[in-house]
Amino acid sequence: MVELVGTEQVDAIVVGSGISGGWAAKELAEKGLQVVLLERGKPLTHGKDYVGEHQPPWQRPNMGMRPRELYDQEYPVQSTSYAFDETTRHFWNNDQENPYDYNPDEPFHWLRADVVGGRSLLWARQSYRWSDLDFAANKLDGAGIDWPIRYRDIAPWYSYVEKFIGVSGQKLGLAHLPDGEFQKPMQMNVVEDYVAKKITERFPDRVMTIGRTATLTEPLPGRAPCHYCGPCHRGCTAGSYFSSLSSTLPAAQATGNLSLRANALVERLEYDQQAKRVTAVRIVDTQTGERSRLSAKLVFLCASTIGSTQILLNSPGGDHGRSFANASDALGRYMMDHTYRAGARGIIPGFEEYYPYGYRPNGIYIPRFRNVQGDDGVGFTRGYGYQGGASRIGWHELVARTPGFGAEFKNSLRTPGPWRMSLGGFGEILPYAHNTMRLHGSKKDRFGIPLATFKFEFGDNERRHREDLVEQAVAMLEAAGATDIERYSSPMIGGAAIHEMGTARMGHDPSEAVLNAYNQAHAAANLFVTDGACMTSSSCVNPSLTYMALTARAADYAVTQLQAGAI
Amino acid sequence: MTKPEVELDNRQRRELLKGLAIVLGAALTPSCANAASVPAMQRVAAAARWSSQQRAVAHRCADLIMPATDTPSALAVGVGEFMDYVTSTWLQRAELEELLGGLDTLQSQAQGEWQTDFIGLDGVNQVALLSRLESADSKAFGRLKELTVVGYYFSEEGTKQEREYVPMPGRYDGYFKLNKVGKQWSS
Repeated sequence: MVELVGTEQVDAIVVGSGISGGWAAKELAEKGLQVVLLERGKPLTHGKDYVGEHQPPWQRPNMGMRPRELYDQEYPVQSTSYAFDETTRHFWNNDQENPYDYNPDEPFHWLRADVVGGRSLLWARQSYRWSDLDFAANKLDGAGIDWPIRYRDIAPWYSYVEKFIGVSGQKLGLAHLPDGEFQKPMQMNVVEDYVAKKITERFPDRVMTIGRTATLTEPLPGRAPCHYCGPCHRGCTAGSYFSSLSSTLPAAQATGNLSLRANALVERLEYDQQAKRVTAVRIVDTQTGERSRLSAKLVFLCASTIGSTQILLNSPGGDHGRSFANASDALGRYMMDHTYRAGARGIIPGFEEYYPYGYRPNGIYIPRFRNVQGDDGVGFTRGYGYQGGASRIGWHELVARTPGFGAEFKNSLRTPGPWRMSLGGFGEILPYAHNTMRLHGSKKDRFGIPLATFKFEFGDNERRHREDLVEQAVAMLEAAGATDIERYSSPMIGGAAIHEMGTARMGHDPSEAVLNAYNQAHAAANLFVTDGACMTSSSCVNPSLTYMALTARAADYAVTQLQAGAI
Repeated sequence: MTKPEVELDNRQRRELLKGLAIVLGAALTPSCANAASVPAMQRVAAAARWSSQQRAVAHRCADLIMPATDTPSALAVGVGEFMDYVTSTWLQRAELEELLGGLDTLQSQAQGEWQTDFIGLDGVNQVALLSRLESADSKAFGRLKELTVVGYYFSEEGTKQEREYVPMPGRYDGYFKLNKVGKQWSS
């Protein structure tokens, strides 16, 4: 092999500029470290590159039609997202250019961005704290190894992160869904308020609240409150929702300590077995194919659950040709997601004089109520929460429901249809050893890097909670007087909730976990993995806020250890 | 990164896929129009694609479906161009055949009963034939209707006149009264 010359040495390398990587870069740079942030995706400029933002409907390309054949050929997985269209396509991965091993018979969906800022641009912004109901769950029911942390360890970091990113929400005083440092909540609409009241009347242990979202209702430095234009995922020049580009990267850049390199794909880490350290990061320039290496005292892997584990699996140095980080055999295992696309909806009669103004980029939330005080005896462990909302049926559906044509038909379409309340569940998936990502034995990408390949199955626990959540959604809709109630339950696909977690889990014991209580690799003191790969269980709430808190906490620990000479 | 979506059961999915969803794709039914589940080979665009007579019938139907009221007619806001675009580059062969079959029916019935082209009939007879098509061939009629409404609502007039366009609402009011706007928002 040709020896690469001129290895650069910096204080810290952060791999990935998404939700976790942006936080790592900000924290490390603010603590005075010289940071190089490597992003495999293309450069993207806040504001300027939000080409679809506020685009009038009549100016959309292709007369507003989705180019179906292009999507089928080049974006078959990415185009399954509600946030994928011509206003956002330039943010997303091209499945043909950067593939994974997709098996149509046992599909796994890997949705990923391919720009600076990563999926922080495209996320749905729901931000919930975990609690000890989550962190103690594995120990309690034995479905996985114990988390090495509890709520008290992360609570101050939740506060720290929430104050910076801005989370709006309503305090509820629930122990299992702790309140945060909230900006004023967004408003529920007239029907949501009504349904919430009816649900709690019928089920005193259930509450429906406005979603807790990383979208501002009050200003923060350099960022304006939401103007309710609707499609956040097109990018927000006002910085009203949290993304790396609106928030953490500007803060990191303001220190003067950050060097951001786009088009820089990390293929593997170099590891010194004697010193038990990562000695360098191997980089491919995605534009030229040129390879280089970079050394640092600290390396933070924040390349996303799958991205980070792919890099680790491709980094030799362990026994029997294994990855240096895989003495536990846990690397690539215990992948989780959330169950998704099941629930119910129904018509709420009345309220026809109301028609909300503004496009609220947020819905309602019903926190978990199953197995909260112990085993409820409902046939499954853990639980689920609901997201959804009430809105009036729009013209898309009215067209098909309204017979005839002519002036009367045209005029009748102007009036919005009846109110409909939707409740969709997100359920916890247990950590199973057989749910894996691996490197494919022969398939490689255009740079010769082995493709990721997946095996993901749902268990009985997931099937049972999913059946229950559909029936409970129906029961709550009935309590609210809904008519025409429809159940739905789409085929379950791993990764489809885009909450993929695990594959490099945290745990005290190096023989069964990849990372310790501070997201530090058991195998390498100078390596930290702080994205979703670190997760030991999946909770049923959206995970991104927890990645941010864990990242800030790990950065604080890493710098303290570095200064103490322990790294 | 996910958000709650309006979901449909299989029956409704089939119903919708027959109609609007095919034109709107995932913009309407994010989870249903799962592109990954439809082999690319099924989506080979047909070569263009309709006769000038079929085109004339379709354009005339657009104005029958959405005539001028206090807002302009379909053709006046560009639905004709929209139909031309969709039929020439976007509809798959089977989708196009459904549409063309209906247009041919309208033309042949006009010929059979009045010995004239559909577009040469007076409005009352055109309405009668289009009503007959709605009962006899709901697929073809549904396609005409969806192309007309979608083309209309995607246009500038359809966005700003037929509906209420507020690109920067600035706030959210969940108790806003419908009578203050009187029509649907365009999103």
